[in-house]
Amino acid sequence: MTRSYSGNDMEKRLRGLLRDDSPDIAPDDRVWDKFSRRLADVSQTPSPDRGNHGLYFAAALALVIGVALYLLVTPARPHVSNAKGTVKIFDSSANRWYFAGEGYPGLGEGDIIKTFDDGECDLVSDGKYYMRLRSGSELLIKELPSKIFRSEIKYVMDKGDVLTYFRKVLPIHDKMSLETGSALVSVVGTDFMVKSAPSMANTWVGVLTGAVRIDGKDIDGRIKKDGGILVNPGEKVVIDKGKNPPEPSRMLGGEIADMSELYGMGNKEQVALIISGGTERVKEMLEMPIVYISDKSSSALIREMGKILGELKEAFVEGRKDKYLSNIASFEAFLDEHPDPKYDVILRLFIGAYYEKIGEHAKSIAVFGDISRKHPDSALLSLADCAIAVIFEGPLADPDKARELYRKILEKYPDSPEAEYARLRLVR
Amino acid sequence: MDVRRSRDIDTPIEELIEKASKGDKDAFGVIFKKYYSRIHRYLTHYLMDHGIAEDAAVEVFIQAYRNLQGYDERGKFTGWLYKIATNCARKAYNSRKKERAMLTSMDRPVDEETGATLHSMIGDDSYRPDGLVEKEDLKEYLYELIRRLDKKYGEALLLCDVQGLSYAEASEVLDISENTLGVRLSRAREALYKLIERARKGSL
Repeated sequence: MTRSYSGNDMEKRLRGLLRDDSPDIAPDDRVWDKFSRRLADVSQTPSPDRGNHGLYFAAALALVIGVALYLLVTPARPHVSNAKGTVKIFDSSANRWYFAGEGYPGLGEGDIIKTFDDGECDLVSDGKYYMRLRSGSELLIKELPSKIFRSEIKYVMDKGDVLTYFRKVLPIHDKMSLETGSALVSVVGTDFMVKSAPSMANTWVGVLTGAVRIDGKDIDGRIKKDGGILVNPGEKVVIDKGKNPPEPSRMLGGEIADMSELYGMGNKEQVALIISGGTERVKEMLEMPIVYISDKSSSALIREMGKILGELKEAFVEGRKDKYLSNIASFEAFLDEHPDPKYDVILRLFIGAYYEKIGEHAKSIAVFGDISRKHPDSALLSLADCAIAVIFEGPLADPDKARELYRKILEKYPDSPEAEYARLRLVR
Repeated sequence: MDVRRSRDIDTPIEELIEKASKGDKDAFGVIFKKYYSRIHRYLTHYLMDHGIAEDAAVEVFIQAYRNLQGYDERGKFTGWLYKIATNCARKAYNSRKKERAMLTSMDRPVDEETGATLHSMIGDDSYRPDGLVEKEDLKEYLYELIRRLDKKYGEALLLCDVQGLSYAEASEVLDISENTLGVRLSRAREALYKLIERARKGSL
C-alpha cells in the first residue's frame, strides 16, 4: 500500500486529521453530579464595590509603593559570599579575626574583609550592590546606612582590586563611595572597577556602565576639594597620590574583558553586547559579537530571549542556514513584539552582525539601517552606520559608497571610535 | 429547574453570563452544558487521560464561576474559558510530568485488518472521513505525538489545528502575539513531522 505523496499533501492531510470535529455531547449524569456537588459549595469572588474601586486601588497602590520604596532605599547589611581560598573578616566589636564561613556575627561598621593571595570573595547587599574582592585586597566598612535618612555607604580600600555593581534607585538618596590611598571614587551609577596599588601610590578606575566621580587626595591623604572628574562608561583613569585625577581615557579591549565578570554579578536583568571601546570595535562586532544574558534574570521575557538566542547559536554551530535564518526571523519578531529601549539597539546590532556572518548582506544592512530609524538618539548609532560602510567596502566591493558613508560618519559622530576608524579607512 | 433537561441552551451567552454573574447557578449550569464537551475534549488531548481531563474540566467551570464577576471581555467568553482550561491543564500536566509518556510506534499497525501503519495512512487516499473508526484511532496516535512536543508547541497545535481556534483567539489564550503564534505553529508542525518520520524509521 505504498503511495507517493508530496509534503503539501501530507500537511493538508495531517491538519485535516488533527482537527477535532467531534460533535458536542452534553455531560453525562456522573459528570453533572460531580459538577453540581462542586458548584453547590462555591460562592463567587465578590467584585469590588464599584463606588470605592478607585479608593481601594489608590490605598493598595500607596501601600505597595511605600513598602517597595522602604525596601529599595534601605539596603540590607552586607554579607560575604562565594568565598574561595583564604578570606578573613575582622569583627571590630569583638576585636577578633574570623575565617569567612566560620560563623562571624554579621558585618558592621569598622569591620574589615581581607582576601589573601589565594582568596577571593563577594560582598553582597542583596538587591543593592555587589562587590567582588579579588585576591590581595583589604576593604574596611567605614559607614553603612542604618536609617532611611542616612544612606551613605562608605568603604575604604587600602590595597587590592574590587569590581562593583551598584543599583542606583534614587539618585539623590543612594550614595556609595570607595576611598583608596590616592582617590575617592563616588558612585554615580552601576558597574565599575577599582584597583588600588599596594603602595597606595595610585588607583586605577574603569567604568563599564553608569559613571563614577573621582576626587584626588593630597599627600597627607585628605580629599581634595577641587579637580574632581566624572568617568563615563568605557573610560578609565589612573590617579596618583597627591595629584588631581587626569582626563579619562578609553579602556582597551583587554581591560573591558577583565571587567566582564561584572555582567554576571547581582540579580540584574542584564542584557549586554560585549565589545571593546576601541577603534576596531565595528570589526569586532561584525566578526562574532557576544551577547550576555543573565541566567539569573527573573523576567520571563529575558529568559525567553535567552532561549531564542541559544537556539540561534546552536543553528550557527550546526551550520544549518535554514534553521539559522528562521531563528533570526523569530528573534526579530520577538523584538518587534517586546520592544525594550534598554536592549533593543544592542540586540539589533547583534542580529545585523549575525546576518552578515552568513553572507546575508542586504538583510544585515536593513537591520543596521533600521536602528537609526527606530533609535535616532542612541549612542551606538555610529557603530550601526559604520557597520554598513564596512559591508559596502568589503563584501559588496563598492568603495565609492563606502567612502561616502565613512565621510558621513566623520560628520555625524566626530568623537566616536567609528570616526577614527572612518578616518583611517579614508586615508587608505 | 433541572438544568440537564433545560432548553435554555439556545439563550445567548451574554444573557447567561449576566444571570450567572449575579449568582444564578442554573444559568451557569446551562453554560456548563453548552461548553463542557469542547473543554473536556481539549483537556483530554492535552493530558491524554480521559478521567483526569474530566476532573480538570469540572475544575475549569468552577474557577470560571468563581471569577465570573471579574469577566468583562464581551464576546470573548470562549477564549476566556480556554485560558482557564490551559492554566488548569498546565497544572495537571506538571503534576504528572514525571510519569513516562506512553510510547507508540508508527509502525505498529493501526488498522489490524489491512496492517496499515500511521504513516502510510496519512498519505493514503483510501482513508476517507467515512472510515471513522480507523481515522479516530489515527487521531489518537497523533494526539499522543503532540503531547510529546515541547509544551508551548503542543498548546499552539491543540488550540489552532485541533480545536480550530482562530489565531486571534489562540494568541489571546496563550498571551502571545499572533506573530509569535505563527512562528510557534510552524515550528510545531515541523517538529510533528519529524516525530512521524522518526516513528516511521522505528527510532521512536
